[in-house]
Amino acid sequence: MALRRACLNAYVGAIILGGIVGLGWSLRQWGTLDLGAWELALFIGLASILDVMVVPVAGGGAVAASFAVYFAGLITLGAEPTVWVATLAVFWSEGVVRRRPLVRVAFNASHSVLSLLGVGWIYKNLGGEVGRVDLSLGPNLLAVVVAAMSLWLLETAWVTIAVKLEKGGGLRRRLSSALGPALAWDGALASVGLLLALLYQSRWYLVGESSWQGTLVLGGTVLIPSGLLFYAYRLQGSLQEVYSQSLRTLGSLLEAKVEGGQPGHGERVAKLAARLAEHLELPPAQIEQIRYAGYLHDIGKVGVPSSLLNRDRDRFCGEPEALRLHAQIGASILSPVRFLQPAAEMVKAHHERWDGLGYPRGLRQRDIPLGARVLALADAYIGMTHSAQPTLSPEQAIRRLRQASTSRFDPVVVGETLDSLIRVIDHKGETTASPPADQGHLSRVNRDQALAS
Amino acid sequence: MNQAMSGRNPTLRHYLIVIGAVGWVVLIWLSVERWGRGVSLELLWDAGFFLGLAILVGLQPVRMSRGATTTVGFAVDYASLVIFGPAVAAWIGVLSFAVLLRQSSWVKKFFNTGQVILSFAGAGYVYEALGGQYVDLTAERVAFGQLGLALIACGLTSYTISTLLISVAVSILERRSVWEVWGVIFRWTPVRFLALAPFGLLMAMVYQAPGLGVVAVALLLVPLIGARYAFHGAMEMLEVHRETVWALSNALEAYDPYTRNHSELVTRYALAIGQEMELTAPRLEILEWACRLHDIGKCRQDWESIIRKPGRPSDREWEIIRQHPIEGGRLAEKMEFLPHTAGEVARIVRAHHERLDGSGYPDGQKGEQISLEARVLGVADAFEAMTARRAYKARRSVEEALEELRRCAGTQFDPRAVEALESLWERGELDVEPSVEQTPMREGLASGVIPAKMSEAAGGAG
Repeated sequence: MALRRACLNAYVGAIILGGIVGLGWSLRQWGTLDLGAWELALFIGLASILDVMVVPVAGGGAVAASFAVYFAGLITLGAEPTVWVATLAVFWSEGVVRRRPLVRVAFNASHSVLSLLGVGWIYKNLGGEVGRVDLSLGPNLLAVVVAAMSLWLLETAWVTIAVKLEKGGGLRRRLSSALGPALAWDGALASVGLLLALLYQSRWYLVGESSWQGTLVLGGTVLIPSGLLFYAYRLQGSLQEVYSQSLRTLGSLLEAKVEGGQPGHGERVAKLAARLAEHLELPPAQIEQIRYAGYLHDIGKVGVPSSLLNRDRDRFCGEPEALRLHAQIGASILSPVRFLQPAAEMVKAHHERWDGLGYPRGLRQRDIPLGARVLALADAYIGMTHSAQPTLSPEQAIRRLRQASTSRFDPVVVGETLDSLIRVIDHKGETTASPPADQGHLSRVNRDQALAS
Repeated sequence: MNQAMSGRNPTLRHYLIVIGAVGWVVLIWLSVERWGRGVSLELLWDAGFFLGLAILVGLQPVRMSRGATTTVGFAVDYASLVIFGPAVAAWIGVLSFAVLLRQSSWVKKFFNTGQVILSFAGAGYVYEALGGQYVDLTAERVAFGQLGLALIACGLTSYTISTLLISVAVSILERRSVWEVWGVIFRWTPVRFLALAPFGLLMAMVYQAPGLGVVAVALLLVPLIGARYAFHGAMEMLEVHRETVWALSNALEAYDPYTRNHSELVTRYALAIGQEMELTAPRLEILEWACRLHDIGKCRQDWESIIRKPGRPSDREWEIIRQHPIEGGRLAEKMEFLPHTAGEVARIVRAHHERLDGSGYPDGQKGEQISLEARVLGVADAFEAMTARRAYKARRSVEEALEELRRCAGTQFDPRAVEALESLWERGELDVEPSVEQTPMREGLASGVIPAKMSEAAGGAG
C-alpha cells in the first residue's frame, strides 16, 4: 500500500518535472516560430472551452474535448506553441473554473505537454508538414493519421498509468478497457480538429466576410460538433447513473418487504461483489451487471411465504424447499428486462455450489456463471459478518470462506480475491463488521448455517 | 415514421395518396425549373456525395420512446437544401428514401417521398422569399452571416411541414388529435432541431471552403455519427429504465394479496381518465409514472399489520399511514430520469391523498393547489380500491363506486375527473377488470406464476 503510494507520487512528480522541462524547451524554440497573438488567442480560447467538456471512460480515467484543438494545433501551429495552448487551457479550465488541486492540474497539463512534444516529433519525422496539411494520398496523410493515433494512445496511457498506480489492477486490462471508449470520442474529435486545421490554414475564413465573422465560423466549426458530442455522452452517462440508483432503491424496497431480512444486505453485497470483480479484472460491463445482481440477488424472497423465511434454521437440515425457489423467482422477476439478463443469470445461480450440491439446478464448477460465483462469495461473507444472528469477525469469516473453497466456492475466485477482501477490511472500513459478536453464541453457529445466508 | 399504417383505413389511404401526388407534381415543376439553369457534372458528383451521406445516417436510426424512430439526417437535409436548392435536395431526399424504405408498401413510400418534397419546397420558398441564396446557384460565396433570419425560418419551415404531415397521418390512424400525436412522436423535437440545424448550416458553410468542399463535410459527419451512437445508448437506457422499474415495482405488489395488480389497474384507469380529459402526451407519461409508483411509500415491513389491525389506528400508526405519500414522493424522486420531468412525478405521488377541500394528507392542499395529475390519480386510486375484489372484503359494483365518487366530487374528488370516468363507463370504454383473485401463495409458486410483463400494459396505455 505504502509502496504503491510512493510509486504514484514518484510517477506524478516525474511527469510534472518532464512537463516543466518540455515547456521551457519549447519556449527556447519560440524565436524561430512565426506566430501571431490572434492565432494563439483563438486556439487558447477554444481549448479552454473544450477542456471543460469532460466525459469519464471505463478504466477510471476521463477524456476532454480539447483533444480536437490540441490535434489541430499540433499539425497547424506545431508542437511548441501548442504545449503552451494546452497548459494555459488546462490551468484555466481545471484550476480556475473547476478549482481542482494544483498537483492534479499540473499533472494534467504536464502529460499533455509530453504527449504533444512526442507526437510532434513523430509527425515531423513521418514527413508531416506543420501548417501545410495535405489530405491527398501520400506521406503527409499517413503522418496525420499516425499523429492522431499516437496522441490518443499517449493521452490515454498517461492517465491510465496514474489510475493503475492509485487503484491497483493490471495495466494492460485497464488500458484495453480505456482505449476503446476513448477511441470513439477522440476519433470524432480528431476529425473536428482536422477540419479546424484545414479551415485555418486555408485562411478562407478571412476572405469575404469581416474577420470576426470568420472567427465565429471557425469557432462554431469546433464548438458545435464537440458540444453535440459532449451533450450526447453526458446524457448517456447521467442516465446510467440514475439507472443504477433506481435499482439500488427498488432492491432495498424489496428487501424491506421480506420479513427478517437484513436492511442494507443487497447494497453491501453489491459493493463487495463489484470490488471483487474489479480485482479479478473483469470487463466493466460485467462488473456493472454483478453490481446490479448484488442489489437484486434476494428479491425472489418476496415470493416466499414469510413463515418459511423466519423459521429457525437450526431445526432444518437444509433450507426449506420454498426458500430454495427464491433464486429462480428472482430471475423470473427480472426476465422482462432484457438488459438485465446477465444479472438475472447470476441471481438464478447465486446459490449454486462449486461441488454441484447447490440449487436450483445443481450446476458444477465452471458451468456456474463467473458472476454468480463472485456473487456467492460476497453474499456469504456479508451474511457471516452482517446479520441479525451472531456474526463472525472478518478474520473468522475469511477463514470459513477459505475452508469452503472447492466445496462451496470457486477456489480460483477465493484464492484471487481473498487478498483484496482483507485489504478492504483493513483499510477502507467499507464492510467493517458490526460490533464483535458474543463469543458464547458463536459456538452455536455451524458452518452450513453461516454460509447459507 | 414507424407507426404501422393499415391500408384498410380509406381516409388515411386517401390522405397518403393526395400528399404523395401533390409532392410529386411539385417535384416535377421544381426539376423543370432547375434544369433550365443548367446542370453540371460537378453538381451531380457533389449531390451524389450528399445522397451517400443521407443514406449513411438514415441507416442508423435512433429508437425513441414508444416505438418512434429518428435519425440525425435532418442536418444533412438542411445542408443539402441551402447548398443545392429545393429541387436537388428533394431528389436527394426521395432517392435516399427509395433506398431506406425498401420494405414498406408503395402507398407509404409514395406519401413519404411526397412529404419530403413538400417540406423542401416549402422551406426553399420561405428561404428565397427572405433573401436566401443557394451555394450552388451563386457565383460568389454566400455570406451566411447575413442570412440569419432566412436560415432560421427555412429550417423551421422544413421541420414543421414534415412533422405535421406525418402527425396528421398518425392522428387519422389512431383517431387522436394532431397535437397530441405531434407531442408523442416528436417530443424530442426541440432538442433535435436545436442540435441539428446549426450542424447542417455548418456543413453548408464549410462546403464553401476552397479546395475542401465535400471533404470538410465528411469530417463534420464523424462527430455527428459519434453523437448519434451516444444518443442511441441514452435512449436505450431510458427504455431499460422504464422496463426495470415496471418489473420491480410490479414484483413489489405481486406477492401481496392485498395490493396485487392495484397499481396496474390504477394506471389503466388514470390514463383512460387523462385521455378523456385530453391531457397532452408528456403529461400522460408523467401521470403513468406517478400511477406506477404511487404506493411505493407503503413498502415497509409493518405496513400490513397496521392496515389489517381491526379498530381505529393509534396516533403513531396514523402517523405512519399519513407518511406514505411523503415517503413515496421521496422514493419516486430517486427514480426519475428525464430532465423535463424533474420532481413532477414525486410531487404527484406526494399529493395523491390530498382532497379538494383541504382535509387530505400530508400537506392539506386545497383545490387547484393539487396538481391535475394528482387529482386524476386520486380518483383512479379510489375507484380501483372500491371495485377491486379482495379476499377480505366484498367488491362493490361499478355503479355503486361511481355513485360514491359522485357523492364526494367537489369535496374529496375532482368533479371533472369523476365526470370523465362516468362518461367512459357509459360509453362502455372503461375496461373494469377486478384485481386477479388471490391465489394461494404455495400454488402460485408451484405453478411458477410470476409477475406479468409490465411493458405490455405500458405499451397498451400509449
